[in-house]
Amino acid sequence: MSGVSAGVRRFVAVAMVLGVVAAVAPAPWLGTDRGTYESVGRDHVIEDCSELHCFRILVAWTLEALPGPSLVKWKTYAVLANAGAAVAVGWLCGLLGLSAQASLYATWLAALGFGSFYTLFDCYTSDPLMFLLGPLLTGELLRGRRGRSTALGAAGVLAKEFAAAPLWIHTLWAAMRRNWDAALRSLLAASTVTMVWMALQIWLVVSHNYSYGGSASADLAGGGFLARWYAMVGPRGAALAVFVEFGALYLLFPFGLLRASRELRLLAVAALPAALALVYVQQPDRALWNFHFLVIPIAVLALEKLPAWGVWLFIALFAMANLRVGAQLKAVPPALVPLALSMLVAAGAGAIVIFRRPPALVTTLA
Amino acid sequence: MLTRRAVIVALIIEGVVFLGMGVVVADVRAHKRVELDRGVNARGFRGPLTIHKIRSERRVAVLGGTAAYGYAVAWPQSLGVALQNRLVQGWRTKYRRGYEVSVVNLAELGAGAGSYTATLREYADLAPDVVCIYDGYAPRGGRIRQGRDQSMIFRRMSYLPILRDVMSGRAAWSLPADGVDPFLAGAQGGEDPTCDHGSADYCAAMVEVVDVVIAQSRPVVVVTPPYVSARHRRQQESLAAALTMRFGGDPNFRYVAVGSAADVKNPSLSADGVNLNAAGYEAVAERVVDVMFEVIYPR
Repeated sequence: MSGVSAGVRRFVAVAMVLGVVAAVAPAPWLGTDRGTYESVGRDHVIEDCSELHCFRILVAWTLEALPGPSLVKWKTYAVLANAGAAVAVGWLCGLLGLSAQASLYATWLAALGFGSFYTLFDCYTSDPLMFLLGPLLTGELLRGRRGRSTALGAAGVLAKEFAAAPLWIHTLWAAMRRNWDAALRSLLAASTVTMVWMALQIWLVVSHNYSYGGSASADLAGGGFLARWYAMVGPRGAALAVFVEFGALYLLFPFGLLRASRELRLLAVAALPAALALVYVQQPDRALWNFHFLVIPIAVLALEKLPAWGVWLFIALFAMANLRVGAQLKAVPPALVPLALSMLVAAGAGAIVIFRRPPALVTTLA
Repeated sequence: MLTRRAVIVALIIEGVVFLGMGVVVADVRAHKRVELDRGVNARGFRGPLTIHKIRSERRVAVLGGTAAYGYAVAWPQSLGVALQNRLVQGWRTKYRRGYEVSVVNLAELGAGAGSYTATLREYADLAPDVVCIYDGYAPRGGRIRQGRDQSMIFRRMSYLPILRDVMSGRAAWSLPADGVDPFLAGAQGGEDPTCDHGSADYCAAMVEVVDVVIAQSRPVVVVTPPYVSARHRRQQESLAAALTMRFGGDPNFRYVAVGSAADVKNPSLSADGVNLNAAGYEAVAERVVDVMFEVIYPR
């Protein structure tokens, strides 16, 4: 079986699972951005729009131009983009030197994670495309394909600003490795993509009187969206929301770092400024999942030391918790039980890493 | 693959582009800062910008010069707001439910009657339903200092850059007021200020703009501002006669003389005897509102 056909099979399998979840996920009972995205898709430009989402045109313009009921189109997009994202995370794992088995685990963890499931529940968002672009752009940049990455990033920022982040992360990463030539070239790619994003903002503001309205995201001096979100949910709510985002992966992450190659560790460090910036200006718990393409490979480095049944048990518990907190399925047991059990499994994996000291990952880049 | 030299050159070019974008962002922010005070929005007129018009909206466009602009007052105290506030008061007998009424003040400091037709053309995309001409005391072809048409960017893109003028303190609203056209200022004497003589060009320009609006089947209300001199009064009475003779039978035409409803010599309405204050514009709006109601709703 070739790599491509294996990837296609994996994509189909993940898409089928996510398709079922999308079909049974309840309709959001909370306020969503559906109306804004439908209007943007229908009218393309909404004069005087003061919604942040009006600036995120790509997905809305594309989907609403297609025939069929709006909800079906957006759910299908969420399923396909999240399935693509999961496969891309597995592919990135391979590029970073993880085993084929570890890549498979990573694919399913990405597919069954909070961010993926939440966007199946509330599908009117550009997030699934961002979940796909994170690993895809990082992988392409690691392969030295900057032209393709620039083109993808430039298209991606028309959907959401996060699409520029992988290029900046790679620039910083290359600089930290003192690979100045690569850093310079990545800087050009990142600034080009950022320029496209800025040009879009300026065009819409100047020509169509768009604004960020009273969006807390634009209130950089006043704590951004982070301050408003924290004021709304309080310390306990904030801690809980951030915890359920990655759940037991948080516990696996430090043990994974012990095994990670220098390249992978530097990549994680290089992602910190972008992560902090996004957490500051976006809803922090949801913004964090954008970095799943780095958290999952590192967590899997610890997880894969468990026997296969242990890993699949962890993935099943992880999925069960996220079906409740992400996809909002009421039919599954409360998330607390699977979350607690998955923490126990993660602790076991961590113990193996500590006491058996398995060899560190070797990342060989072209 | 690009050479290192080409990458550096590209980065320098992008740096320059980013700098330019930064200037645009700063300019947009400058508009946001001044548009609620005495300055203009990104499209070069007073008040926060609203382009989109909802189905039930009836939009009034105010044309004029310094007097209509409200040189001495911030936007919330200016004519447009005073008029809009009254047009949405449900207790007024002529108020009709089911409509959103908005007023856009397209007046420009120093503008004279000769510029009004061009202003209408420039802002045609705002699709006003009613035009209110509140002429001031400038000569027909009055020189507009820092006029929006002097900006090439405005002429090409309908966006008025103001950052340089704001930073240098040379924005039109920061400069001393133009005052009254010397031709109108004198008490008596000099050339006859009526439409048949000294104000022939001025009256022709006013007739032209009314003609343009009526030709588009839109109502037009011509408002004579408070008189600043006997010559101004004679000029305006002569204009009223000329307009009534030409358009008097047209249901889309209305004429209102503010007259003594807002006396600029009254210090409680004007500090300098020319430019009205907030109370002055309240009085003008009160004088005009009933006539506006008569033309604002579709018949």
